[in-house]
Amino acid sequence: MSDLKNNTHKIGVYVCDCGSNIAGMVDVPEVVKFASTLPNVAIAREHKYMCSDPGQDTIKKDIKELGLTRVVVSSCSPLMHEPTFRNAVQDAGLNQYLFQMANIREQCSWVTEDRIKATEKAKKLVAAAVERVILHEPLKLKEVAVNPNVLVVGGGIAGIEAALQIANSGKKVYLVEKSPSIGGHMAQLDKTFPTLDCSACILTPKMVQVGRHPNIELMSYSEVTDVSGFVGNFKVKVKKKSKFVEQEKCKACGDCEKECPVERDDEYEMKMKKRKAIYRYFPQAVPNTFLIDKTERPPCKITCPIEQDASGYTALIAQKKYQQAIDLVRKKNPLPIVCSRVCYHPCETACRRGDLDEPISICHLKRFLVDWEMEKPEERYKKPEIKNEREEKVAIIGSGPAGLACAYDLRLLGYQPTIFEELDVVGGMLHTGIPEYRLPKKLLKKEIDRMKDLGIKIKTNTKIGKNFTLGNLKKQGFDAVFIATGAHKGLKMKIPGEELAGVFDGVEFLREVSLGKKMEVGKRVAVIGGGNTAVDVARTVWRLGADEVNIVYRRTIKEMPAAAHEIEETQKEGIKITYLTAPLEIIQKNGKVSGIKCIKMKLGEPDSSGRRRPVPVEGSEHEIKSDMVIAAVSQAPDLSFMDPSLQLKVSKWETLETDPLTMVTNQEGVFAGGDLVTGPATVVEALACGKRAAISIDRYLNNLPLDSKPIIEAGLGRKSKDDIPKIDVKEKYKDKPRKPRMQIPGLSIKERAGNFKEVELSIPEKLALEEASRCLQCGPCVECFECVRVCEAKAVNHSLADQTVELDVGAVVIATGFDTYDPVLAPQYGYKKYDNVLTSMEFERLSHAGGVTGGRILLKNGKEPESVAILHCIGSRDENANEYCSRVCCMYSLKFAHLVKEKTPAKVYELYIDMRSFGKGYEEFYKRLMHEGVLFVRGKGAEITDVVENEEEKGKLIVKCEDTLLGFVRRIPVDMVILSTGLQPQKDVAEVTRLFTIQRSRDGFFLEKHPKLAPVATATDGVFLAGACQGPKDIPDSVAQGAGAAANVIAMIDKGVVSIEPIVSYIDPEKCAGCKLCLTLCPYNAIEFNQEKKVSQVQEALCKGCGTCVASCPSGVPIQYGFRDEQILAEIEGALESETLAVNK
Amino acid sequence: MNQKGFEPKIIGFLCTWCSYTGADMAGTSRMKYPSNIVIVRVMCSGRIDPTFVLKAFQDGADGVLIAGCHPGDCHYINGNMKTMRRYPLMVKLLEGFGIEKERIRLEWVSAAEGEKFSTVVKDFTAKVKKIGPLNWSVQAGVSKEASSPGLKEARL
Amino acid sequence: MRYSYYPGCSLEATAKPYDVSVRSVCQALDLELDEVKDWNCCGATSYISIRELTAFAISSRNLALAEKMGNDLVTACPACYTVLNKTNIYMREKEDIRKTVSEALAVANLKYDGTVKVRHLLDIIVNDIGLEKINPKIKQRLDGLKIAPYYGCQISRPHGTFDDPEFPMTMDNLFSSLGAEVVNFPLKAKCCGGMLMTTDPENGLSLIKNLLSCAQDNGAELIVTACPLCEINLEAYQKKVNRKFKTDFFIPAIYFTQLLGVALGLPKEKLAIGKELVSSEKVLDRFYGGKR
Repeated sequence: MSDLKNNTHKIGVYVCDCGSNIAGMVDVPEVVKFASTLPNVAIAREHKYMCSDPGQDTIKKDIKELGLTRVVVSSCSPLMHEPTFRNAVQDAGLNQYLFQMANIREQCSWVTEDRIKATEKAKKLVAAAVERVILHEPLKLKEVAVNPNVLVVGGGIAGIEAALQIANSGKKVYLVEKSPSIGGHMAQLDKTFPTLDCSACILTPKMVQVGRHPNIELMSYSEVTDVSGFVGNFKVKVKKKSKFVEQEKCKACGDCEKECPVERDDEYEMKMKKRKAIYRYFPQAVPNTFLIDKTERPPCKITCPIEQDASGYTALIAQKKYQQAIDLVRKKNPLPIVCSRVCYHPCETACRRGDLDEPISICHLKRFLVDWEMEKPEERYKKPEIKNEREEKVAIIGSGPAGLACAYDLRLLGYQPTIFEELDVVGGMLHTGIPEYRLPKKLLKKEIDRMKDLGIKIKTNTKIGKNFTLGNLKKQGFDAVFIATGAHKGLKMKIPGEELAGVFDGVEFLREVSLGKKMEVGKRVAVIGGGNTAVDVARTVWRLGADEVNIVYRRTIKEMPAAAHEIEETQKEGIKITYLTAPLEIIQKNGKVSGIKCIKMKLGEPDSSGRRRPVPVEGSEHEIKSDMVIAAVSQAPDLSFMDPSLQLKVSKWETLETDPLTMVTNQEGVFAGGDLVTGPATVVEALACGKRAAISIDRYLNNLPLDSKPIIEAGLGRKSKDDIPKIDVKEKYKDKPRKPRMQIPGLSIKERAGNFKEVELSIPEKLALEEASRCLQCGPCVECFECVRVCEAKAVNHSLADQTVELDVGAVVIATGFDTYDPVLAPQYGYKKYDNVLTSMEFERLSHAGGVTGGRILLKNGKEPESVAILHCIGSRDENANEYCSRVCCMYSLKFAHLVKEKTPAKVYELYIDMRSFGKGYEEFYKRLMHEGVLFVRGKGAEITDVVENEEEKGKLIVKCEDTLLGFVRRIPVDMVILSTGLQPQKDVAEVTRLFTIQRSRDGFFLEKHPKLAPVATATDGVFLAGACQGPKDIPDSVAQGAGAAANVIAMIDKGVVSIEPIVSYIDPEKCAGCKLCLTLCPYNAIEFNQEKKVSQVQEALCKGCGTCVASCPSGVPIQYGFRDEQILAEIEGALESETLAVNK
Repeated sequence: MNQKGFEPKIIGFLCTWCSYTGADMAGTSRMKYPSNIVIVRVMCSGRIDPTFVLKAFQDGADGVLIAGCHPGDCHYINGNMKTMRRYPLMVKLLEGFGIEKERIRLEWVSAAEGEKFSTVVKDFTAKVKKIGPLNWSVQAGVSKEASSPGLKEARL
Repeated sequence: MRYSYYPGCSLEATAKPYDVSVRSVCQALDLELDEVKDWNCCGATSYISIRELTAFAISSRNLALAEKMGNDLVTACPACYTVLNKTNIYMREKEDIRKTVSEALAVANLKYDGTVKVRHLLDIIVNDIGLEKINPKIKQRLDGLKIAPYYGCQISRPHGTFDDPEFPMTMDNLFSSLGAEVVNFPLKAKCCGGMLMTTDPENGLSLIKNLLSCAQDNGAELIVTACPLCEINLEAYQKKVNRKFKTDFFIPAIYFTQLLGVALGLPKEKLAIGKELVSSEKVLDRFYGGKR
C-alpha cells in the first residue's frame, strides 16, 4: 500500500459548476486554483456540467493525453453520478476505482449560506478526495449470475400489472398476496374516474389472467416472513396460511357458506355486510375458492383433554340441529351421558365469554343433548357402524372411564376388546366413586349396555393377579393389553387414632354405599380433605342423615381441588367447611371416636403445584367434636395385582410409568392409562388416556412406529394456556350485549335430604337455545363440521396446517399498496358517531351494485338522501394527520358527486381546499361536474354536528366550514356526509422496510432511488417498487409503475449477470491471531474459521462489504477494499489539513 | 470558554444508506447548516473505527459526529447495533485522552431525515463552539508520528 | 407533590372563587402550591395580539421567576396556560425571539433557559394524582348530579398536551368517577364568545345562547368550567340572553375545583360557593343537607 503513496501520481481534478447550482454559491475558479496547488495534482479544470458528454470527454482526453493515474470529480453526490464518471474513467482505459468524488453540491453549495465559507468547505472536500484517491488501488467488479425467478409482493393492480408483464416475458413469477384474493383496493371500487368505467369490468379480466398464467405462481393469504441474500440471488421465506379448504378441489359452489352458523363483519364490504366463518373474499375473487377463518380457535375445544367439539355443538344447538349436535358429541366422546353430568369442564374455565360476563354453560348444554337423545333413543341414538372387522383381541383390565374409552375406540376400529373387571359392577370409579345423586346408576348402565351392544365383551368378577395374570393373557391369544385399574386405595392421614372404630376411608366408604351396603353414620361427622372425594363423601353422609357434617381442609377455598360448583352445592346443603385447619390426632372416649385434635394453619410459600403450602400456627391447637371421621385426603393405585415377573416400571408416586402420550409401558404390547398412571384425576382425563392408548394399540397391531404425532394430530396431546390464541375479548366484543348464563334447574335442598335423587334436572329447550346463542363464536370457526358434511367435492379439511415455502428469486417487486386514513382520529367529523357519515371506501361499497344496498344510495334509515356533502382532504394536507396531498381524493370525490347525482335527486356539495384535477381528462371531468350542478364550496369542512340552531337544520347533519370565496362561515345542513379519506402507508410498512432493507421517505412511504430518474428502483439493488406503496397514486399511475418495475426487472434478468461492488473484506492469514471476534460480529456469517491454519477467512461470495469486521479486529488485520483504513485516514487528513497541504507544494 | 470568531472543525462519519442519503436530502431540500462539518462516507456505521475518530481529533478536529441508520433499519441487518455498543467505550477512551465527551456525538438519521440532519449539525456545531478549540495534538503533546502507531492499539 | 403556582389576574379579581377553591382543593389533595413571588401579567388576550414580542417578554419574566423555583409551573387559567406555553415554546425554538427577550430579561437581571414545564391544574389532578388516588379521599359522592363539563377553547388547544383538542374528556372522566352524571354536551370545546361580549355582543350572545341551550336541552343542572372567562360569559349574561332570545335560562356555572371540593366534603366558604351570579344553591344544597 504505502509504496503507492511514495509513487508520484498524476491526478486530474474536475470541479463542476452544475450551472449555478454549485457556481452560484462556490467560487469554482478559486477551488480549481487551490486544487492545482495540491500535491500530485497534474491538472485541475472547471466545467459547466461535468456529467454532460463534453464534461466526460475532457476527463477521457486528459487521461489519454496527460497520462493521468487518478481522477477526482468534485460535483454532486456520488449516489447521483459516481457510476457515470467511473464509466468515463474506465472507457479511457483507467481502472474505474482509481476515481473519487467530492460532493460539493448536496453537502456544500446547497446547504451553505455564505459564499466564502462554501468555497472553503469545497476546498476541504476536494483536498480530502485528492488525498484519498492517491491510495486507491485498481479493483475488479464482481459479476454474479441472476436467478431468473421474480417475487412480486402485493396483488393490487400495480402488482398484477408487474406480475403479468414479467410473466409474459417468459420468467417465473411468485405473486404473494396477504389477503385471500388478489385485486387490492381496486377490486372494492365501484366506478373509476374520469371515464366512469366499472372497476370490476376492467380489473377482473386481469385478475383471471394472473390466476391462469402458466408462469405465475399465485400465493394468496400468504406473507413474506424472511428475506436473505442479495441482488440476483435472494432467498425468500413465504408463510402460506392455511385456508382449511383444498383449493384444487373447491368448486366455489357456496353450499358450505349456507350451512355455516357463524357470522362475522365482512372486511371486503367495509364491515357494512356480514360474511360467514367459511367464506369467499368476494364473488370474483382470484383464486375463486373458499377459506375458513380460524384465526382465534375456540379455547373450549383446545383445553378439553379429548378436544370435545364444545363450540361446535353449542352452535348447532343454537340452530336447533340437535341430531347433528349429539352426533358431533359422540364422534369423540364415548361416554357423553356420564360427562354431561360429572365433567369438571375445563372448557368453561377457558371460555372467552367468561372475560365478558359469564362462561357458556357448555357442560349442561351437553346434558340437554343427551337428555334430548334419551327421549327417543331408537331414532336419535345412532349406533356407530364398524367398517372393517379385525380379529385381533385386546385385553383391557379395569372397566373405568379409561378402560371403556379404550375399548370403545378399538372396537370402532374393528378390534375385539375384552374388559376384565374385578367387581360385579361395571364402570370403576364411575360406579363406586361418584354418588347416585350426581350420576344415576341406570344412566351409567345405559352407556355400558350400548358398549356391549357394539360387541365389547365385559368379564366381571375377574381380578387380575387372582383369576388371571398378565402373563397368561398372551397365551389366551390377546395381542395387546391395556391396564387401567385406577386408584382405589385411600391414603391414610398418618396421624394417631386412625385405626379407631368410627374412622373410615373416603373411597372405601363411597364404594360401600354405591354397592348398596347399609352404612351407619354418626351425628357429627368430620370429613378430612378438600378434593372431590371429600365433597362427595360429605354430601353422601348428609343424605344418609348425619345431623352435622363438617369438611376440615388445611388450605382455603381458593386452593380446594374440588370443583367449584360442587363446593357451592355442598354449602347450600348446609355442610360446614372449616378452612385452614389440619388434624393432629383422633381423640377417643372408651374406644370410640369423640373428636379430632386440630391445629390452625396459615398459607406460606407456594409449593411445586403452585398452591401455597399451609404451615401450622403455633399454639392454635383445638378440638373439633365428632363421632365419625372420614379421611378423604387422596387415593393411590393398588399395585398388589402386579405379577413381579413382568417388572412393569413404577414411579415414585406408586403409579405405573408410561410415555405420557403413547401410553406405552416398558413391556412390549402392554399399555396403561387412567388414574393408575396419572394418579387420581378426572373422568375426561381418563377418557383421554384410553383414547390415546387405543391409537397406540392400533398402530402397534399394524406394526407402525409408536410415536406421539398421531396422538397430537387427534387432538389428544397435552395442552397449555399458550396453545390458546390471545385476544382482548373486552375490546373485541365491547358491543356484545351482556347476558348472564342460564340457571340450572335442580332439586330444592328439602327435596334432596335423605335420598339420592339426581340433584340437577333436565334443561328446557328454550333455556338451552338462549344459552347456546350466548356463545361468542370466538373461533370464529366453531368447528361444527357442517361445511364438511355438505361439501360434495370433499374439499373442506379442518386439519390443513400453515406451511412455509422457501423461494429463490433474482429480483423483487414490492407493490404492497396503501391504507386509508381512519377518520375516528379526527372526532370533529363525527365518524362512527353519526350514522350517515361515511368514509370514501364505505361509499364505494354503498354505491357498488354488489354492495349492501345493491347499489342504491340510501341513508341508514333506508331513505334516499336529499342532500349530500363530500368533504375533501380528510387526513390529507393536514398537519395533525398527513401533510401530503393524497392525489386521488379530488377526482374520486367528483366521481362520487356524479354517482349521487345519477342515482338520486339529491343536492351535492363538494367542500375542497384546492381542486387538483391534473391528468388526462381530469379537468374536463371537473368541468362536466360543474355543469351537472354540483355545488362547489372552497373551504375545508371544519366540523360535522347535529346541534341545530334553527328549524331547517332539524334532523340534519350540519357541515361547518369557512367559504373562503364568499369570505364567511357557513353551516350547510345535509343528510349524508362522505369523508374523502386520504391514503397512507400500510400498517406493516415498517416490517416490510426491514425485511427488504429498503428505506422510507418522510411521509412514511417507501423511498425510491431517485425522485425523478429512478422512481421504481430502491437503494437496495434488485428490489423495485410499484404503485401506491411508494406514494399516493391513482390507477393509471400505478399501472404505469407496475409496468415500469417489470421493465427494470426484465432488463436485469435478461442481462444474465449483475455486477457487484468489490468492496469486500480480506483477512491476511499471516497476521490473523484467530481470536474469532469477527466471526461473531459478521451479520452474514461470511467469515469462517480455518481449523488447520487457525485463522479466520472471509468468504467473498457472502461478504456484503459493511466493514464491521475491519473496525472491530483487535489487531487490525482485516481490510475492506475501497474503504481501507489508510484511504479513510488520508481523507480525514486531507479534510483537516487542506491549507498546510496546499502550501507544502 | 466561549471565544468569538472561533470556527470549530468537525468531521462527520456517515453510513451511506441512511445518514449520507439523509445529508443529501438536506441538500436537495436546501436546508442550511453551518459549513464547519466535512462528511466522510462509509458503507455502514459499523465500519467506523475508533482510529478514525482519534485521527480526526489528532489532525485538529474539534468535534466528531457519527451517524447511522435507526436501530432496526440497518442495511446490513445490525451494523448500527455494533456501533451503538462500541460508542460508549469510544467515549471513555476519548475521556482517557482528556477529550470532553461533548465533542463526540452519535445520531440516528434516516434517509428521509434531511431536516433532522441539519438541526443536528446546527446544534452540535453550536455546542462544540461553546466548548472552544481542542488543539489536541498540541495539548497532549502528541505529534502525528508519535501517535500514529499508537492508534491501532486504540481499537476496541 | 410540590408545584409552583401562577394564579394570574382573573383569579385575583372576577374569578376569586376559582382561586379560593383551587387552594383549598389542593390542600385537601396534599398538593403543595408555592405562589410565584412578584408574578405579573401573563401577556394574554389583547397584549399578545397587538404587541407579540412585548407579550413574550412579559410572559418570560414569569417563566424566569418560576425557573428559579425548580418545580413545574401550575396555572388554573387556560389563557395563562396557553400564553405561558406558547412563550415557552417560542423561547425554546425561535432563536430571534429568544435573543431579544433574553436581552430584555437581562436588564432586570433575569435569565430564562427554557426548562420550566407549564401545566394546567386539571392535568395535575387527573394525571399526576389520578382518579384512583382521589376517590378514597371522597367524602361526598355526586350521585345523581347532572353536569355539563365545559372546557372552552384554550385548555386543550392548540397542542392538546393532555387531552384531545377536539373532544376533551378529562373533566368528564373525573366527575363521572365521582358519581356525577355527565350529560351529552357536544359543544364542550366550542367558543364561549371570549372577548366578543365587549366588541361584538351580537355574535357573543348567540354563541353563549348556543352553549346554554345545548347544556339545558341535554338535561344538565350545572355547567362546570375550568376557565374564568368562560365562567363569566356563561353566567353573567344569562339575563341578557333571555331578554334577546326570549328564553328562560337559569343554569349555574361553577369551577371544576369548586365541584371537586364539594365531593371532597369541603365547606361552602372554603370553596367560595354562593358568590356566583346564578345561584347554585338549588343544585348543590343537597350535598350540604343541614350543614353550614
